[in-house]
Amino acid sequence: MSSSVLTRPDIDDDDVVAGPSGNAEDQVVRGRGARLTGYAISFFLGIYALFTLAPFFVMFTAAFKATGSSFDLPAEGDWLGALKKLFVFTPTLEHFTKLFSESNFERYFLNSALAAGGSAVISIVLGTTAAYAISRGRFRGRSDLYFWIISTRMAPVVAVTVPLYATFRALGLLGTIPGLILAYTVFNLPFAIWILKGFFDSVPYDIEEAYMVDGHSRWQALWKIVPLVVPGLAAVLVLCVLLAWNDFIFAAVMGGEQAKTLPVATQGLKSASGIDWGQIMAAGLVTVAPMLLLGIVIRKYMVQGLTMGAVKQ
Amino acid sequence: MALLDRASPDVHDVGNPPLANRQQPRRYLIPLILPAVAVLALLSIYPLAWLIYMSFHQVALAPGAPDTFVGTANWTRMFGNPQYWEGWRLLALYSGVSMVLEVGLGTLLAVLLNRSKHEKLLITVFLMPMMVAPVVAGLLWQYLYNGTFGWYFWVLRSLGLLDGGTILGSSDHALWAIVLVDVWEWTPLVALIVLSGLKLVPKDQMEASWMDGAGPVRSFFQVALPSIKASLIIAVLLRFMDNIRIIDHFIALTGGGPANSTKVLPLYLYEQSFSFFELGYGSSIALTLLLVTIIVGKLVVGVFETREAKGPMSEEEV
Amino acid sequence: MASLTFNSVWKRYDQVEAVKNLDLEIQDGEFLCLLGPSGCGKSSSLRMIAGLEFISAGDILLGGERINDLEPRHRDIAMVFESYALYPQKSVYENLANPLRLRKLGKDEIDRRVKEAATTLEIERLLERRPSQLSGGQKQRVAIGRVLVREPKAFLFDEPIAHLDAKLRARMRGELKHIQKRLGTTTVYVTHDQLEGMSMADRIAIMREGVLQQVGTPMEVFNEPANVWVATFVGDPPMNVLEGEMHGGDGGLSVVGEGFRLDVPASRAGGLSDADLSDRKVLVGVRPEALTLSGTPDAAHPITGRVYAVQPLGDVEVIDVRVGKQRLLVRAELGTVANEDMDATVYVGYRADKLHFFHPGTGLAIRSSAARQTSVTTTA
Repeated sequence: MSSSVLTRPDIDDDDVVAGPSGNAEDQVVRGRGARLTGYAISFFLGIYALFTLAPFFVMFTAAFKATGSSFDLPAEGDWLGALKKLFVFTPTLEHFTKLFSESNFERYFLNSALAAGGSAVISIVLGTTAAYAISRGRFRGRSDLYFWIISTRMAPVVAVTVPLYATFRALGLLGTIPGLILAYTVFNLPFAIWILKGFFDSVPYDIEEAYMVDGHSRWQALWKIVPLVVPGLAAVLVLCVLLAWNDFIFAAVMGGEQAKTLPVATQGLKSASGIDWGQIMAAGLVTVAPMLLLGIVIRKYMVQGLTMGAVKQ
Repeated sequence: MALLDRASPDVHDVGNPPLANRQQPRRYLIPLILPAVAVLALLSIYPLAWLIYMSFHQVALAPGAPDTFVGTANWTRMFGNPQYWEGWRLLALYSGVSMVLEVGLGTLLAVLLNRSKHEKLLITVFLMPMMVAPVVAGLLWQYLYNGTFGWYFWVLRSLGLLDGGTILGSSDHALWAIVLVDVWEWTPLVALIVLSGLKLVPKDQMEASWMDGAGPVRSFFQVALPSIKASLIIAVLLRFMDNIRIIDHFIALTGGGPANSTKVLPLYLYEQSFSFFELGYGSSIALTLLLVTIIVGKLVVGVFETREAKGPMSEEEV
Repeated sequence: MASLTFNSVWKRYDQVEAVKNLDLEIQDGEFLCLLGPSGCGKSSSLRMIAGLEFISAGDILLGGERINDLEPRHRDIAMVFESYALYPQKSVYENLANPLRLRKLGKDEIDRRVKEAATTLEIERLLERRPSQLSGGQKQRVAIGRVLVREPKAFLFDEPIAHLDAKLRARMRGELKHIQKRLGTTTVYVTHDQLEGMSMADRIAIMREGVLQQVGTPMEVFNEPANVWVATFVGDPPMNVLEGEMHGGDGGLSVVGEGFRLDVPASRAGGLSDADLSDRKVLVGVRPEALTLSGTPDAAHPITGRVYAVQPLGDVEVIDVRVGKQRLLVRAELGTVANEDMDATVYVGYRADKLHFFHPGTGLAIRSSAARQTSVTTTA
């Protein structure tokens, strides 16, 4: 018997249409003006992309331009000369060699990496357990606790710096990497808890209950659902690194010379007598490039992390 | 007809149970929070106590030297200082203008991105400014604005939009120049938040509105906007808080000048505390800033909770 | 009001063809049900009428006019969504008034129409509420109200009552049918539930894997299914299908398999002997209600089987009988077979005029004469 002719079909509730779904506007029939609107949209987005990218272009080229005449501007209104100035130059690595040979930038790079990485790891470890407990717990004071945690993240950096400075001074943590790691944990840990709680909220408790009914302990059940929040962990890790890496105030106030990070060192180049813009742009590039790469390589987690707090499913 | 559908009467009235067995809430989870709470307490409550303590003292500069109790001197000095109030005014002006620009432009970008074929590529591009350390962004734009080497300065001059003087050297322009940097760096964040809100706009409601006869603009205001309203509010509040929190752009670009025209309150606090080491006076300022932030923060969490609490409805039928 | 026509309509997504060469004519004022399992292309077809899906190839005509390139809002068609798609921030009143406001009707006219629709649907008391304060059944009524206030050329329903409980569904079937008959608006109704199609539609169009299988009145589809797939899709419990081998004899044709020998009525013998059956194999279809049970063998009960399970349904029961390796459902009076009778041998009789024959390879129905079978079916 040919079963394909005979089998009574399975009937589901929803008639799932194969093919693209999601955005309602993908398929809908549009009127005559649609194409023109499409061009206008592309045009506007193009202009905005230019506005976004232009500073990067300037920073990038300036970092490779030799100090001197290449930093002069053309005469006002000389648009052709401007194009020539922007694009035509002999690239040189002089700024970078100077940064690493004279200005200790490899030290600062290491400091930044240690501080950002250390704080991210601490925040993830402590944040995961706390977020899980807040998400699953039903104890009294849970929402107050949650609000308190969130509010520490929202505290103005400068306002926190004042007492932290005094505290760290008393504890001898000023000018040390562990001090910086602790300081960054002030805003990274609440942030991690905030985002991870959202992730745990989106994992149905049923799954853990199923594991427990199958004979696992509570803690085994918790361990079993960790893979489900891995995207959240990745997003948190990336953002914690980003926030700490890019910080200026904490590092400037508490890092001192011993624990100087890249942003502080870059700003520090300015205060020297006479500003060497090529030098500063090169330092800026060294500071920014790792984060740009991070952003582009794991764009998905970056977007998720940045928008997570605001939009929950 | 309605007669047929009356709810069936309670056949079995079982009365109230005695409720003798106590249910344990999931308390066993509390230990999991303790390490995080301990760290945060160490890093926030303890410093907060110190902050309050310092605001009533003249803090000694040398470590170990005794602080002098000065009563409310720091507070009266602060409230009597025009620079303090000017700091608030500038902060409000700066935050207000950049927020309006960022939310308006960000929403527009999100709507357009949602219809663009190159969404993924463009998001990557728009992510880039957010990856830049704010202080580096400040330095970069200082270079662009620079009166001798700056390309944006040159473009503005060449277009005849700027007569005489430099951009950051003018009390009239400096604040707006910093606003532009903020817009450059953070508008994409608003766009991303709104965009992810737009992705959650119910497809069927959108379609229903088209079937009702609405055009693209009308259906945006009727269906999309109400459902991204909460995202918008969150974006506004997040940006507002960051404007209070982060002063890196100011430090890099102007340091508060020219003539204090960009000395927003957090920058004033930073200067008092770490340039003049007036830690006691700085503490008073920090406490007022903290208070305002907490109020705003309460609003943020409030928005979240009303959204989570959107509950079910009565299940009686017509 | 207007007629609707599909002219060789195709719907392609990237790789998948959701609707294949659909030709269908829906009369002015007709209630047509698009019926089929999930993924059969019925929803895509409906959404192409609405303008929510682009038409990949072919034309759709509304009142004789090609509407392929019209935006949804200019088609003058109203639609009820499976999820109801009410505007959560608007009151019920505003949900109903929305399409009218977009048509710039006067305030009084809007009010009159909204109240009228609310009265028809018995939701007058709910007008000030928000959708989140409504139950599923109430939301569903509001969604219907939103199409009733308009006087569109056609109504589209996309599984409108799929999410209601069984009791409410039964009631809504009656109400929807009543409203459609009173207004006389051309209606296309998509469902996967054959009961809805059978009970409400003037005609049913059955689709499977993007291909239209059969169009006809509920009775036609039920009594003369075009192929074995339609035969088993329509009707509950579904039609039984036995596979057997044809044997000629002195008394005429019969179909023989393990445990049964069915005599083919003389009126059907012609069609069967004309059909191109390899290996003499044939499928015989018979509905559970055309079968009878007996505990003792006799000439009227030529099928021998064993009781597998009994499903009492209140007034009747359905008995699952195993005949060889094949399965028969028999509908009988309550109490015909008891639970204790499991595995007992029973004998099944049938009404010869209710037999259906299908080609085992193509699944197509074999009618009294070979000429007839091509006229009602489309090839799969």
